[in-house]
Amino acid sequence: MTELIQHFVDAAGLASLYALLALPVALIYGIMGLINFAHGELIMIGAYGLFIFAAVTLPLAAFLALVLVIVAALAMERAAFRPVRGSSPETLLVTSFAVSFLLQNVALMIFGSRPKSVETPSVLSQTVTVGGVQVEGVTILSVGLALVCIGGLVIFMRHTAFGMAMRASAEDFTMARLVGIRANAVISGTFAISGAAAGVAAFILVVQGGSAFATMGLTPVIIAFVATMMGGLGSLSGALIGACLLGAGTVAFDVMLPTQLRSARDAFVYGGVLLLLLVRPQGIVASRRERV
Amino acid sequence: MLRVDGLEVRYGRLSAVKAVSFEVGEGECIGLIGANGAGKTTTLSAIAGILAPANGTIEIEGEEIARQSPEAIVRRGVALVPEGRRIFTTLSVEENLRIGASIRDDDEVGSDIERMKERFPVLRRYADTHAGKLSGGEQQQLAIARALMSRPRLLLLDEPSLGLAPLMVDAVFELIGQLRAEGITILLVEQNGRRTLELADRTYVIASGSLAMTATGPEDLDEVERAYFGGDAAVEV
Repeated sequence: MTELIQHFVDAAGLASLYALLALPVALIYGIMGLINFAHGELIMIGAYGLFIFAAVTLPLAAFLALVLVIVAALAMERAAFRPVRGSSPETLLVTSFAVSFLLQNVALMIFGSRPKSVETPSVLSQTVTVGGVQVEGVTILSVGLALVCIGGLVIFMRHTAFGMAMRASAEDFTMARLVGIRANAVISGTFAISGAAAGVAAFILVVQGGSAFATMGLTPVIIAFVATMMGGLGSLSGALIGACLLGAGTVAFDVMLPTQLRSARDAFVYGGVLLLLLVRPQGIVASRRERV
Repeated sequence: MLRVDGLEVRYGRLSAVKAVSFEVGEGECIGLIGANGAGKTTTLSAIAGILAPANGTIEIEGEEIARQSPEAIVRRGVALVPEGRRIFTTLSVEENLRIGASIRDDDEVGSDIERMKERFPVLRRYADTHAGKLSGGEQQQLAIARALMSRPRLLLLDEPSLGLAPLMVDAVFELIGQLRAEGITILLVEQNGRRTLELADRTYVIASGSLAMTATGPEDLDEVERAYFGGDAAVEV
């Protein structure tokens, strides 16, 4: 029983991080049909932000890094994606690849290829034991931040005029413009939200890994895509379900695989993803959407 | 109110609408009829700002609006009820009404929503329901109510009777008559030629992307039938 709860806690920690990665990717795809590969670089910028601002106290550094990522997300939309808005999905995707590689290489130029270590409070790497179940500080942090962010996003989408405009835009962007919703405002707002989510994810990843490096956005962004694809591209609830399944699947294979196969765990996890997509190519929650 | 002059709209190298010119005066109800693919929806889309015209001008009260964005044009007092209604199915009925008032920041939005619910009782009954659950006729009422929420001076209606049961069609045409009586200028695109001729002050017949004739009433029906396909086919209008 204790063991089962332990696995559940591990899965929850992983799933909440994955949800923070997948939600913004699903949100941007839902609104403008863009698969934003450069989302990973927003996370990277957030991590370097924590490194740069490390001289001040941690809460202030975290806040400044968050602002930095939001500004970077807005600048990314304005400079790279607005000029190609309305283009084919392929053009948008290739643009996001270009932005991604550009930012990675700028980071390499500025900070070099060696990871920059970032000090985080030791309490976050400590483990507390509750009734035989070990919970890492970073797990509590992930789950807590994910719940706050997802809850905040749900309230924002359901109960604000801007959230309603975003929902309408995600369903039918042209019609939303026809009732007077300003396309630029909705898309900028969506990028700002995705930037905020990237900043929070960066904080968790830095606490976990202890450092910032130029290519650190790659794995998170792939996880984000896989989770959104599993759930059904463009669907927020689908992204959440995909993130939970991916987190739970990863922990499940970790536990069930024999020791000698454990290093190949991800092969099994993504094999499972492949099977799921073969059975349901549209994802778990199929969404209707119209491209901008 | 609305002046379209020499309008040409292209899809790639194909002209869907070529050299279309017409006027809609203040308070008028003007029909635009024609067969499928004649260019009716394309014309409305250009006026609403969804499609950029290749040539020609579109003026609202003397001001050029061609090539402006849809969100700018709706602020000029032009609201479109699109083909297929396109209500926001994932939003509630009430939210659809509220979002129709996106361009307004006055404090009468709430009382306007109340007025819409009085006018369309079904919208009150299903106010908190997802709009996607409404029937076709109910969705059409919602689409028109949503457009009215912006307090338009010119209402563009794209085939509002399409796919509706006969009783609903009657209700829709009656509603359009009421709106005209309230002083809203209306440009009505329809397949239902007879009903449009009965209602409209003037009806333009569009065939193969050009204006084929102008009709003034039901007495022109025979001629309209001939103009419909450029005289090649007999159609029931």
